[in-house]
Amino acid sequence: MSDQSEATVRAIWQAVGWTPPEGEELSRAAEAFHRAAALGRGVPRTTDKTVSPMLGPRDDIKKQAQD
Amino acid sequence: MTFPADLTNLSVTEATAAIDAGSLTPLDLFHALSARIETYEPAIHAYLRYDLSAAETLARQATDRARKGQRLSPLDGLPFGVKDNVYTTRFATTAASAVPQTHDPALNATLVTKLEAQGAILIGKCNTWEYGTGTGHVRFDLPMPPAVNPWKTQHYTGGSSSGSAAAVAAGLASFAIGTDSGGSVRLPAAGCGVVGFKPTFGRISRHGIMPNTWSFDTPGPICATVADAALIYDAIAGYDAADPSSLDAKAPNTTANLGAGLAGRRVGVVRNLAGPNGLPDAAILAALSQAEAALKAQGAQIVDVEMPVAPSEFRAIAGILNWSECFTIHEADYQHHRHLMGRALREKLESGMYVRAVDYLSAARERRRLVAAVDALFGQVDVLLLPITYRTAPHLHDTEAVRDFTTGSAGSVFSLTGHPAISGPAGLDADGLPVAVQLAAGFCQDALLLQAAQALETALDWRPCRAPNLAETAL
Repeated sequence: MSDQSEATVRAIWQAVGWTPPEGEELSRAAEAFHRAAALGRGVPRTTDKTVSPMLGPRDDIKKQAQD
Repeated sequence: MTFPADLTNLSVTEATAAIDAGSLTPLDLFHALSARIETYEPAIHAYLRYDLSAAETLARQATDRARKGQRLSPLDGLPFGVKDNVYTTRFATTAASAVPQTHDPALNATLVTKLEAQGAILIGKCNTWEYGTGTGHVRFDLPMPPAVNPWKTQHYTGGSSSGSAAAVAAGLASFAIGTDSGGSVRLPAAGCGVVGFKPTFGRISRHGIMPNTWSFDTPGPICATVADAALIYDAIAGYDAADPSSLDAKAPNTTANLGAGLAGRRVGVVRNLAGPNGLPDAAILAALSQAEAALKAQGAQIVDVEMPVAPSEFRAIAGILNWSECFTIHEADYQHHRHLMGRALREKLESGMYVRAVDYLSAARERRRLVAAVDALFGQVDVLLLPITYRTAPHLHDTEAVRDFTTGSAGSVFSLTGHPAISGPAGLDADGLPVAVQLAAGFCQDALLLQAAQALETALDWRPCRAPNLAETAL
């Protein structure tokens, strides 16, 4: 991972009040940062602003359980 | 050493029938099983800890009840194991980790309490990926070595309920309990040639189970046959006020009409299988074709179906949600004890730490679309047929193949949606490793799903489930 990625990760850790990792642990943290960003980029976006995220109790399943 | 193979190879259903008939006692069954554990467990690593002495005492009590005609249930006297992310009073729970655990040691998971109340005998805690989760990698850096595949002990079991599947496949437990958040019951069951059942989300209580991802986690049985899965499900399903996700509705009995067959039912065969890693192996495609033909021969109407994306692509959406939830749950452990964690858990948690809120919420919006699209399929068909793994169990030290066994699988589809799904063995590949297929049904159609799986099992002759050459491969 690049020095820039490691610097980004270090900045995130410091911003949340943690002591940043060093050495190999920092390199792996930078890899994880890239992995999460890459997966996030792959999530489709909808332009339909009325679609809400599926969060909380699964009322869709509960409804069918009671049918 | 020789074993009474006819006893250790008995399914739960066969064993309970023999106990009822007076031709078998729980103590006989326990002795056969314990002999196998003492011989093979050092090579299989299915258990992190077990207590044969306590189990023998319980087997004697169950035998007394059976002799008096006072069996508590069909599971009375049947030895089982639970994945070590399930909290138990009788055994410590470490979740295969060196990280110190802080849960109440008196906590007994609701499902374990139910099984014990029905006379089932908890033998021990089954091996697992650390915290019952990970990246798919096996890194050989945990306090115990990983469980190995009883069919070929140089091969991977599948995970994360690795020890639960290995225990059943090796005849070291009559059945076992795993947890499934992206295929973790079904994938190791498929890898080890046994049955793995993930019921509808909320049907089985998660109270007393170390959480992995709140919106995915579903416990389920790993066992020898579909009839066993139905018996165990009936014993542990039902509302639990202690679990906020528990379905507050009666769970219909699944054993009563298990043999109803599939005549007139519509079976959707998923055709868009090509994912990022291509199509399933030829042996798995052949097993799917064989299963399709068998279901058709049973009177089912076959319908071609396309999922909204290929089954192995659901993991991209599930992953964002899963990683974030998992890190939220274990943040403090990561902050204070990551130096004690294995690399696979640490890397998963680190990925979860960096997921942006906008990506998480976009994935949750996409989840709504995918759930609706898959649920709409169950308006057209009663049951879906598709792969569970795209490959058979790879060599344990083939690092990338081991990861791809999970990440390239169809395990996440129904974890993301919450529909019930089951994997069952469908033969062996050219190397003698188990091949499996997956069936799924609509929300709360667990009984229908088990009927379909039973029909398929009968048609395909899935037995014997237990690794037949264990003595040659494990010793």
